[in-house]
Amino acid sequence: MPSRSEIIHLLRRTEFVARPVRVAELMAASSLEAAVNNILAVPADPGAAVFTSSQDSQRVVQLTDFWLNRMAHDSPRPIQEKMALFWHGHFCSSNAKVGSINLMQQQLDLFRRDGLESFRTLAVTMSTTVAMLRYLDNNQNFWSSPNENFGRELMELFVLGVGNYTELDVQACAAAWTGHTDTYNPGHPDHETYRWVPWDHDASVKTLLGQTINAGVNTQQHGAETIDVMLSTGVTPMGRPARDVAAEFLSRKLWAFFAGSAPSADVIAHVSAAATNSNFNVKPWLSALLTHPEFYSDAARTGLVRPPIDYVVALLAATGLRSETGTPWWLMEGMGQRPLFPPDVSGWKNNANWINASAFGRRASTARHVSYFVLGSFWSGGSAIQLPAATISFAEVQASAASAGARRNIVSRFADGMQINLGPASRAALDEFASNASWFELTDLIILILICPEMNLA
Amino acid sequence: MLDRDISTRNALAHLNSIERDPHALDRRRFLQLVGMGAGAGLVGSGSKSLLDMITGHDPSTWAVGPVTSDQGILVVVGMFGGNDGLNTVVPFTDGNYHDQHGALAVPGDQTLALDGQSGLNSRLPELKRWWDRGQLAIVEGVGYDNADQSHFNSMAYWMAGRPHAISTSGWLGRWLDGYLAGTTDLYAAAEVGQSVPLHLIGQQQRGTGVPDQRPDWGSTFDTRSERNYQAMRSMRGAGGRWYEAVAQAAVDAIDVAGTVTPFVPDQADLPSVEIVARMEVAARLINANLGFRVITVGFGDFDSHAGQPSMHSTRMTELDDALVKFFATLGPDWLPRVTVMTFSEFGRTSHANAGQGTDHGSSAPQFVFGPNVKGGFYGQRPTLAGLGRWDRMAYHVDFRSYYASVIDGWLGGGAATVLDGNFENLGLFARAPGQLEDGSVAPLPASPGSPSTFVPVTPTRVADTRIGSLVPIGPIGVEQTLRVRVAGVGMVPATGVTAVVANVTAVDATEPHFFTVYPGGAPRPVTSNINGGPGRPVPNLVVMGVGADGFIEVFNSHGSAHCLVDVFGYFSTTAGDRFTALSPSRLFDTRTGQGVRPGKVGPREVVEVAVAGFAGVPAGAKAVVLNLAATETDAPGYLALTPTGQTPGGTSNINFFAGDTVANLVIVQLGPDGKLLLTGPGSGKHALADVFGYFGDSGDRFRSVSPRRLLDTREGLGAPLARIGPQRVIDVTVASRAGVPASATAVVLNVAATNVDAPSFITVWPRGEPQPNTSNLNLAAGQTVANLVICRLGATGGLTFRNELSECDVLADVMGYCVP
Repeated sequence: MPSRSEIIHLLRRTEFVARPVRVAELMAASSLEAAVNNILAVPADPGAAVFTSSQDSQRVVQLTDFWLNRMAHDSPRPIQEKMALFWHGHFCSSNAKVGSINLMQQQLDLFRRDGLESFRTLAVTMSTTVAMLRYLDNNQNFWSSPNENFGRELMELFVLGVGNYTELDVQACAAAWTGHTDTYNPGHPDHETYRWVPWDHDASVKTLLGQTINAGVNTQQHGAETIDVMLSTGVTPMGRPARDVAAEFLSRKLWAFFAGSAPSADVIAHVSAAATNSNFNVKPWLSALLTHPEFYSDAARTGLVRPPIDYVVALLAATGLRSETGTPWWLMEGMGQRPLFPPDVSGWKNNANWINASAFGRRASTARHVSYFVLGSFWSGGSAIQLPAATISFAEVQASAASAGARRNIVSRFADGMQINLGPASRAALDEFASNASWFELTDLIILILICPEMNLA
Repeated sequence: MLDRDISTRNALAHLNSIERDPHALDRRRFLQLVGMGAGAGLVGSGSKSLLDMITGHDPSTWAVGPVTSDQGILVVVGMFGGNDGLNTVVPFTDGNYHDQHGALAVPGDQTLALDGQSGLNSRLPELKRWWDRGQLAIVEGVGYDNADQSHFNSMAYWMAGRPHAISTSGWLGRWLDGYLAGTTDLYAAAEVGQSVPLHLIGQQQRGTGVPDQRPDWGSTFDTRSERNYQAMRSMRGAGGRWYEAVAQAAVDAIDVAGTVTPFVPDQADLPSVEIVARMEVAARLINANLGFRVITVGFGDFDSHAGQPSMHSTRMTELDDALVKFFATLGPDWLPRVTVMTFSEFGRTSHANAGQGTDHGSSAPQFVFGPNVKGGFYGQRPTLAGLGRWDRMAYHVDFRSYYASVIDGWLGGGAATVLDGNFENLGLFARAPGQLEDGSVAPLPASPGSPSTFVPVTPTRVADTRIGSLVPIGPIGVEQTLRVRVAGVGMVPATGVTAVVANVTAVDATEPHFFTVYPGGAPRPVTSNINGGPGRPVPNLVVMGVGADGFIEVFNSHGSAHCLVDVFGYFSTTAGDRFTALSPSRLFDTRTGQGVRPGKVGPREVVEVAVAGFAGVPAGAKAVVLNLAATETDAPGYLALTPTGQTPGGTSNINFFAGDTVANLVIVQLGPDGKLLLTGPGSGKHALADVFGYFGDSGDRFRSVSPRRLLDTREGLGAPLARIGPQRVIDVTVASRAGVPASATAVVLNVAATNVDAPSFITVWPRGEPQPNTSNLNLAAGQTVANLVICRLGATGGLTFRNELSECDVLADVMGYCVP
């Protein structure tokens, strides 16, 4: 039987926050495996954003809001969106270069729909999304003039990791992907589509990771063949099976994303084996990670800082606000993470990367923005502050200023209303604040709770 | 072949990192705590251990090291993505260049000519100006052996200053390790941007992330905000490494915001192009003289695999615009101390690809420029002859040699340690930092925060709104502000002035009101200096930072009131006397005859008071800080203190009506014999004075701050929410709060008392010392009274306040502090 603290930890990492209703559901599970299976039972159709504007400046906000709402409120199994976020930061494309929200949505919906299925299929399919063809210049990769950008990053960042291929492998991989390009429809970005141009493809036989490639009759499949070699028969320059190298490279990245602590060799071996044994099927692979005892160690439980997207999702969940109201998307860049705009092809990093004075200044501004909407109607004559798990009336706030004890009690009312568990230092600091606050300052407790260290940890 | 030990994860994780290891020991703070005997007390207090105090440090305490006159400042501009060096410094006479770069090649007549064989990209006119002045060094062929084609590995190697190594530290961070030598300073090196890059991470030290727009949270200083901030500080506690890191980051955000806010414009006032805005902020941070020696910025994207012509031109334009903005914003006095350098993780291939782009290359030229740079070509341009489609250019200058030239030539040395070995110094600099072409050293520019020494002047009235002297005629209206020029007026010089010592008097007030005095051009703080009302002139001494424009500003809260400003001296970065704070003690009292002949002071009487050699003031003191009080006054009048050897008259220190007991702080020069003359009209009055410190050849320097509220018992700020007195004391922590560093020895506060229920007096003294027989504010029922207080800080950087006879609320605003 999983413990309550294990379930809470598991939910925070897989569903962004531990909603009390989900904690109750999973506490009824017979085992951690059963709880993880419940979490991974994602809907076949995760829905899709419907744009009401033809302008990308509006669509980018609409797509962001749709996705954050799925994460915070709408998805019955938020791991589906969390995994899409992982792939979005792994198989990176940025709209800064792609320049079309329609194309970004196509790629993102692929990650959302198939992110927990076969890694091989996902990698092959994402390679020819127009967003990726543009982002890494494969739409400029021709037999007559290869562009090695995608071929290199496919091995370095997407599947194997740096050091596990040679420059000749890069050239071979780039050759295999020649000819996959896009149509160009200036002014009609929605009509830009994938295009296969056989005469731009270099169909000469190559060697990749010691294997012969590019020899098949179906030349359009030569690109996908490179991924198959990396995930099956390839051998790295150091003589290791590429499949094992890929499993370890990707397992480390998954561990860093979900656990955060420094992994032991054992847990990496265990998770990597789950990858190779399942032919890189994500669900059993991830299940091996989420059920491993090391995932529940103190180091892992205290091992992860909430990335800005997770932080915003946690704010929305704590306040019940919809993203359209609650997400200050203009502050996300400053916090260091804006959906659809990863900083570069290596994606977002974890933990330390998020922590600096400037970024936390923006987190505080974000919390302030959210609290403004929580309190907006209260200050403009409304009778109560509506929180997901409590309604706190004007009279209650005012009356609580009467005594220090009542002022401390209101700290609990706000924290409970937002379903946030405060640690001892935060609790003491807020009690101290409340005991000196006038009644109207008590509303500052909302913003202080929303920026407390507990909110910034995953 | 790539090194098999390099994993992308490791290389990338190290490119950006947390600002500071939460477990790092702050040695300076530790020694201070131990030195003050704080250890035992804190351990015994139950809630916090000594270790908590050391690790849970307050970064505002670290701003202790502004730039000195012989120190160089380095601005590093990163061009991320791999800049095409061939189209930046164009070798237009090289046929291979045109063959290989194809359509991307720039014709010679479309470049800014350098030497007949090469020209600068036409979008770089600002760099061309530096070249024409002979102050742009173009270092050709900078790179490293066996260049890595991965952006991330190559960037990591460049930032680390270590080719082909997994390094957890960067070259500027290791320089910082040596520069700070075990101490800590949040304001020594910074990235203007969102995160702290690897090159600013040292083995012990880390650079700071300064936001590239005016921060929101942390930039307001009202009581309610300060209480919010205090709650955030208190949330720091045990909870694992990341708990401590995020809790500290939130506090750092507050402290950095509070420190840089006066220098960072609103976003609306900053240029829209990110790198241009960042370079403006960089220049402003240098102007502020917070102590920054290294400022780094970065921008992109330079990764021009496709569409290079428009992409590269845009980047070049942005770079040039950023440099124009930087030098336009930088105070000209800083110029001989500033050098700018560029870097990029690699150049690009000499062969163009079919997508109007170039692929990842190897070596490239880099720029180093500034007034003290020796312009010209350095290194060697790599040949393009025989390069195939995927061949990369050779490199001729190891990037460690490039760095070593800057570390040893401009940052004070230590390159061999920073770079793990000796690398050639290219000799890029014509002169040492601060040195001008004629060999003299440029004086350090003044800013309100610069440590300064005191220069007394013959008292001069610089504003009188009743007659329109130097200011518009007419009282200051409700919520109106009077701007008063102080630098360059009378004996106060136009430059080098950080703060002014002036008596500001409110006259003919129509309602109870207050004046807020603050540095010219600064945001108006939530503080007050003079609390006046109808029926009486109310003076108060101010020690106020002077704005970069040479002004101070006086804001009036209610009704209207005339304003007089008399200047008694100024603080300077170039000349003057240092301050020694004393434990308060009574210097003289005409009621008892202590230190003076007994009996009231008559209207035409000149009473000589010996100062040097008494009450802790040594022989040789140049000026003293006294609190002068008048009491048992028989008629309206005033008191004045004048150095012996000068003729009394024309100025005043205290104004009173019959029956008043009033006090005002006085900073006055001593006569050659170390004495003062006490005079004043108005028949009989007793006078007494308490000494708080003196100015002389040795001692501490003064740093003014933009005023910040430290204490308000009405709000529970800095002390419990309760009036103080009678005979009750409050202990107020000053150091590490409201912008006062832990190293402060004394503080300049404006203290006000309000909600006074009966006549009384307030005494302020260093915490932990016996109560002296002195007073600072004399209170009357129903009045709000303010007076400047300059007092040495006692145990744990605190002061004790005591109201003797009645109850009142007390407010205190920080105006500045003294540091060794």
